[in-house]
Amino acid sequence: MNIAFAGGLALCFITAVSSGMGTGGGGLLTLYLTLFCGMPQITAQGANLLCFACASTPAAVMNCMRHGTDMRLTAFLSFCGAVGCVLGAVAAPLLPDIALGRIYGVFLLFAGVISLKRYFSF
Amino acid sequence: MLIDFFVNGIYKDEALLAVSGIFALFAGLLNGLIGTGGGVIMLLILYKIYKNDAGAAHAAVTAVTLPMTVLSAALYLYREPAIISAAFPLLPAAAAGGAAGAALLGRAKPKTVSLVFTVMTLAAGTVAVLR
Repeated sequence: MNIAFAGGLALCFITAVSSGMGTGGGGLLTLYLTLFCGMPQITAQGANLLCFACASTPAAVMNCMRHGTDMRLTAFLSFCGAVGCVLGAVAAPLLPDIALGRIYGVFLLFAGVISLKRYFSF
Repeated sequence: MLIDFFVNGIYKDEALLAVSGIFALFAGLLNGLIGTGGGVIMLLILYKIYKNDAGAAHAAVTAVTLPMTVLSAALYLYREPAIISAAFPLLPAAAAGGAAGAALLGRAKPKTVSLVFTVMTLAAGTVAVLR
């Protein structure tokens, strides 16, 4: 096992814990996989999605049981989200890796600012 | 009406519902395009719907983003099956971490964890933009 992979494994576990707790960090694995494991941006994004599909399932089930999530609202929002997913997943391979990386970076900055704002407002 | 079919009068504020639908569409678009981000976008509107009840908003966001994540992952895999071999060694760590995080819900103090990941996200965003 090489060091880059071991680091990826550790980061995957840590971000999955955070994701399970609902405190974010889900996008960090993509950057690690591109920078230290040499994956193309789109492959890293796919690997990140698969990891977080696994990580967020227990959290989603436990959260829904604990808070009694409104399933009809969830179904409506998931339906709208699914349409967006298809559009995004079709568009992603049409963009060059560098452009995807830049969009991803700008989004991380935006997410960081939003989280910081929320942190100081509660 | 599609909105009536799904929510059947639970939320009387149809304007807020329509806006939340647009947020969900954009969240899905980001999830499909860059493989992350749906949760951040959805939290913005779910905090409004659940009137700043953080527990309910976070519960709803995990429920809404899980199908988006699964669908996006399936679409990525359909286009590039090699992703499975790249992700496969990481999946046990992701599943174990997700289960541990879910078990810690309500027991650990998420505020400190949230600040650590916020700082890491800002640093990662800067690296991703500048590289």
